Amino acid sequence: MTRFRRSLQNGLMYAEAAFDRPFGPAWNPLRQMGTLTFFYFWIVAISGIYLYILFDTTVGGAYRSVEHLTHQQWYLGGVMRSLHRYASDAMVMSMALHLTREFIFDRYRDVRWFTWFTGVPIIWFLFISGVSGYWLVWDVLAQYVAIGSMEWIDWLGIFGEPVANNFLLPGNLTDRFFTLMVFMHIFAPLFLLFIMWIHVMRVSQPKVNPPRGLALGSLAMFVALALIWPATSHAPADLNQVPGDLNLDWFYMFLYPVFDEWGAGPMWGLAIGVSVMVAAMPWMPPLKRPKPAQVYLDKCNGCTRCFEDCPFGAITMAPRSDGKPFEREAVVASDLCTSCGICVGSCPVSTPFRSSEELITGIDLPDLNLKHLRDKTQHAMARAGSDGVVVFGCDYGVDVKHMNGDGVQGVSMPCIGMLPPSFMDYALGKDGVAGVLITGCKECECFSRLGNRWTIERIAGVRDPYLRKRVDRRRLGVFWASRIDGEDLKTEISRFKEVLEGIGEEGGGQ
Amino acid sequence: MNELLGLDPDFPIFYLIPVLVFGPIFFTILYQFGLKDIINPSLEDRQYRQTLKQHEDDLQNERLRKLEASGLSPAGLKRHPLQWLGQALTYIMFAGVIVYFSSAPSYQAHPPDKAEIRLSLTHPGRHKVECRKRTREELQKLSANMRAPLSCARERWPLVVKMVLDGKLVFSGTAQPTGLSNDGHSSFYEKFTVGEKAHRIEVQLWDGDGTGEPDYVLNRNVTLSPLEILVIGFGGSGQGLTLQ
Repeated sequence: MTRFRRSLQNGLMYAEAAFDRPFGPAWNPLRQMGTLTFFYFWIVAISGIYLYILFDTTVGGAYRSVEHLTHQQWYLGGVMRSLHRYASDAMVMSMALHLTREFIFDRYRDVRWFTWFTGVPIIWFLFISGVSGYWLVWDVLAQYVAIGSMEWIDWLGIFGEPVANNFLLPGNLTDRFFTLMVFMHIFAPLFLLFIMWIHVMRVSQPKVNPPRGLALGSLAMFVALALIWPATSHAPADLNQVPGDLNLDWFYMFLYPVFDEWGAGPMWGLAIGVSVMVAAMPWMPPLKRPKPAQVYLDKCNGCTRCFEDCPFGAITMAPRSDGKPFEREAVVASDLCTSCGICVGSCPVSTPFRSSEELITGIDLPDLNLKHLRDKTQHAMARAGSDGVVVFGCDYGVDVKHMNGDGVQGVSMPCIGMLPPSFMDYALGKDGVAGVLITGCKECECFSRLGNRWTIERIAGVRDPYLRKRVDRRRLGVFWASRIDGEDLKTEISRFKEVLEGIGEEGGGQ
Repeated sequence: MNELLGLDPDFPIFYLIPVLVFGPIFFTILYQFGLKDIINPSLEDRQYRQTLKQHEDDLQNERLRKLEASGLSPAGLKRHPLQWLGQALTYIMFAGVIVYFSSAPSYQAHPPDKAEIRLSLTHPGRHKVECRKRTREELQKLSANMRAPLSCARERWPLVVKMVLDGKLVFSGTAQPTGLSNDGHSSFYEKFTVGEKAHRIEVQLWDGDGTGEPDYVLNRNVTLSPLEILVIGFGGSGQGLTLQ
């Protein structure tokens, strides 16, 4: 499984690298599928509100009002209808890609189970929202989908009389029942939004808006699509006739032909079976993770930086329990901690400059503590030499140990966000090396979500703990690289060394 | 007014009132949920982004300067017009996938030359035990408000249906009564795809213990046209089995 997943990951990384070329890492749509799904939801919601204003909720008037919007008011109503449809379709695509990507990158097990698990009802509610929307047009397609849906529900036998009987004869379908369908199409998306909120609830600093450029690009695409290829209806529904040739919206209706072929029972089996299997995936098998972060109260002054930086909300601030004159102390929820070490990087006590043998910080990783990290750094500095380069990297990006040799030494850690800025200062200090290169997962691809961002912000001096101003920025390089970018990193190291040589010559000349 | 707003003349304009009242409320909720971050980011957010962008630009410029100073080509670091073209092509491809699969390929949900017969009937079976008149002694034992003259068991018989089409048995089934006490209606809902021609339909329904002669019978010759739906139902008020 690991090998299979690794080959999938490599394939996806190559695809993302291909999209990086035109879009750049920040706008790369493959990395923004979750935020795009949110954005498409807002497009659907706003266009839906407009459509609802002019929609006639009676059986006799529904089709006519939709046709009026589509043809007489094509410049606004027609565009809104097309936005409503195409953004809904895009939502299915972006959701499917988001789910696939998270599976491939193994971002669904362990502490991430909750987000994955709550994604399953999102799938259900998205389909209920989409399918119930198609009913309201009340054309032949609506007739087919509505009857199919009701027959599927009827199989459960929870209603005294088959609900499909409401569509048996023209007189059977009442305005009251049709209004019920309209309400279903309003409440299902509201529940969808509610579950989407729950979906990101346990994520610290969730990203729910795409970059502005990507949002505008997507919106422009939908508007262009609405004008060039507007969404249209089938012929009006006729309950005296069986729907024959249909142009299905395959994003939402791909299961209906299967239903026609297999019948309701196997379809329920398939739907529930797949849902249960997907929901249970975080435990098939559960992820084996290192020991969670540990707080050392002797060194913790309750400054809240680890609490603010933890990408998984695993740290809370509790009233002080050891009698020290501080208000609060950090507490780690071990079931939420991924042992990424970002908290270690955020702790102002995490500095390698202290000479104490037992280098203890406020919060640390038992499996790779700060002292161990300093030992590794010192070892790398000694081997690289005063003209050399130390490359700090993460376990999910390029394996920096492969860069060792020729004055270059790599130090790897669970996430680059674990590296306190003082370590960069330390490595470039009096007895240090010529240059420090920071690398890690590609931009917007950080396995621990926020490691790259925090690192850049700490170097930039916009996030505590800052990198000291005295550090010569010319001798500090940053190059984000995914696992497949080993050669690019090597090239970057060569370029960086040339720059360092230039600085050395400048210094020598002076 | 409708004409002024470009609306259908038959559109009841007063429908807009709840929308005008609740629309702004709903929009406010959406705005609070996250739209504000897109439409109107806070001053703090804007300054934060500007600082970061400034730093990233500085970093990029510094890097370019260093590369140029060292004689290395900075190719690939600057945005190129081809990148915008690449983005446009990606959007076109994405739009192509959406527009195609939103309505194609077409699906033949029903053979165009066939009709459909739907057996859809809902009817309560008879009570399993016939109602019995309570004796005077039995009534005396009951409290005053419970003294119904008839004692009726709730449980009903299941319905049994057989359907023969052109001399061939196409359906035979039993439908259990609904309800925890099996005292509700029994329902059938079946669909049969048939050729568009003359057919002989025979339906038999038992609503008692299922033995002996059927309680309801329907024998009819029908001629169906392509895609036509014929419904076999059960009508109240003594209509029995019906064709519609």
